[in-house]
Amino acid sequence: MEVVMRDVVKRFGNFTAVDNLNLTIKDGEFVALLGPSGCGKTTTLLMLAGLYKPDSGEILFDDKIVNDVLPKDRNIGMCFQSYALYPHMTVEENIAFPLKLKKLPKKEIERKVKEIAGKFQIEHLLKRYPGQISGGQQQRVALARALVKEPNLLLLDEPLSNLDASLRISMRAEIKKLQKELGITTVFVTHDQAEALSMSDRIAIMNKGKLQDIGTPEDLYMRPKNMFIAGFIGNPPMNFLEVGFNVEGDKIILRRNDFEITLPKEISANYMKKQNDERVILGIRPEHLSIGNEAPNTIKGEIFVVEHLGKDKLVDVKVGNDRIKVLTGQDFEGKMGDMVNVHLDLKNIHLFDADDGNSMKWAA
Amino acid sequence: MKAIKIMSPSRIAIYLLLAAVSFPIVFAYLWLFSGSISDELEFGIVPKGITLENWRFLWSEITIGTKVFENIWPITLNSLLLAGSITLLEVLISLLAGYALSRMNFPGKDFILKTTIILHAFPGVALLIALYYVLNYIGMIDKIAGVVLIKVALELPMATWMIKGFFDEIPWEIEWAAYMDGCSRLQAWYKIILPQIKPGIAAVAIFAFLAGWSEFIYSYTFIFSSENYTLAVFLKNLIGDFRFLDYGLLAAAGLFYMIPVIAFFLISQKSLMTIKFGGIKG
Repeated sequence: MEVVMRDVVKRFGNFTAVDNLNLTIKDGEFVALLGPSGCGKTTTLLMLAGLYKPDSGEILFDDKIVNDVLPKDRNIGMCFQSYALYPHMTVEENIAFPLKLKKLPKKEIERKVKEIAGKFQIEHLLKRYPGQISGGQQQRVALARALVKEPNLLLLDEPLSNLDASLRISMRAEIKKLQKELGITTVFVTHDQAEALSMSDRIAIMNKGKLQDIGTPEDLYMRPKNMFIAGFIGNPPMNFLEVGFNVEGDKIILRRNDFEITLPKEISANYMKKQNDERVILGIRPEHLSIGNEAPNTIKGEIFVVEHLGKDKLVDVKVGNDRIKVLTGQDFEGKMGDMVNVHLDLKNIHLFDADDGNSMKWAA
Repeated sequence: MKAIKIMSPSRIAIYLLLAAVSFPIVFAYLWLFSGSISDELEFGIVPKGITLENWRFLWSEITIGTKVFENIWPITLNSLLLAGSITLLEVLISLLAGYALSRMNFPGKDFILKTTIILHAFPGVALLIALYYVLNYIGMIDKIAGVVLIKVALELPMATWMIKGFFDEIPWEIEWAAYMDGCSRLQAWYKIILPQIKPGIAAVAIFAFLAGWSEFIYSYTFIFSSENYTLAVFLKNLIGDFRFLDYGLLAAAGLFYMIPVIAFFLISQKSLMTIKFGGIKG
């Protein structure tokens, strides 16, 4: 089922939770709504569910406006963060509940419950109550209950956030596989970028009620349209440094009192939008920085702290009043207080407007 | 594994304290019981001359002095009818009202919440005359239904507040899940939410039944026909004007009056204790 949100607004009192949201989710697509808490992603999900009614705008399922369709008539499966299993019913009764409401024959209900329980490997739990099974098992039951009625749309509200780390990673893969198998359109809310990046076809990234961008994980990572996306996607996050913008001939020079970076011609061409001496934000990811010998076009700084990440080391370097993070190999041997030269992979820099935070290259 | 525990001194102290506190109550019941099965009492509570004569109201007509009393069974039925109707109405209405006040937004909700409780602040006696006029006007005077209406109206605010508190505890997500599964609002209410507030329903039912069963002042004031008497009124009449007071009979009738209360409490108290947790992981 294709889902379209058109100019959707939701307010709570004076607070605008979702501001003029336009979003199209294709049939069979797995879309993540990603953003910090309070960004409006759960509100958006609840509007799709029909539990909240938009104040203005339209929600369409397969070209039909559903603003006034009750949740029970939308044929949506939903899995909540708390799982929301019915504590007074056994696992079996929980899963059978949506089918009973559809007044399916008893035999068929039994068959379907068995089938889906098999798929989620919870057959042995059917007679137990939700309070008697573990969090991971509760989650499977909640998913089974959401999917047993073969919904047209599956909504997942932070379904993994209550699981422990290893279970979370295995469930990610399972949910993704299941979604592809069933080909069911799925919207998934999360504040965890790793989850969004690993599971979804496309990510809609939201902040303060506004959709920042929607795109494939690669898109958002490689071509962030603004500083918010650049800073939110990627771990460790992108470094930002405020610099002066100068054009000399066909080259751009980024300058501040402690360093000066000259961009080669082919890279400069992307950014020739600004006037001399304007302030811009230089963004570069830790993995595109390295520590090396003294050379021109590098940033000098003092090591503030070295963090061990297992596979790599993350080096905090103090540059003036700013601190930037550099990802280095395990063999890096610098110590706190050492002076180092940070090299930039200039092909992977981003420049943002200091006023509105939009990318000077990718912003529409 | 269960181990035999030796009681700690603090535990013993607690038991002693509880025993001391409950002693007067236990003593009073014992006195009532002994008095009801004997001609006389020795040393306060020891029965002397066991007899069932005091319980004769169960199978025969009783007369005290010149006054002939009604058969107790229709009166018991009246009391059950009164307490039962009050319980039923109070539970039903408070479940609906409590849900609305807990879950729905409508203009005047705050006002209703604040003012309903004021009704509870009135002593019932203060309303007697006004209520008499109202009942008389709507033709409910001298009828059990009239007393039921008054009692329910006066008890409802408290019951609704109690039930609202129980509804407040139910997370929205459970209710939402019910809607997503295909429930209408009414279905979600009785299939998903009510089963989870059983302890609250039991609590309200107990209070309503006890209040109805022990209801005296309105029954005494608004009911004149002896066929509509309730047990509380009957007991009052037994005492009469104290000239011919039969203590043995009064003790037996008093005990009889208490039986349903104790039975009802024992039954519903169990469901008060069984609160089922789980399903929600926060």
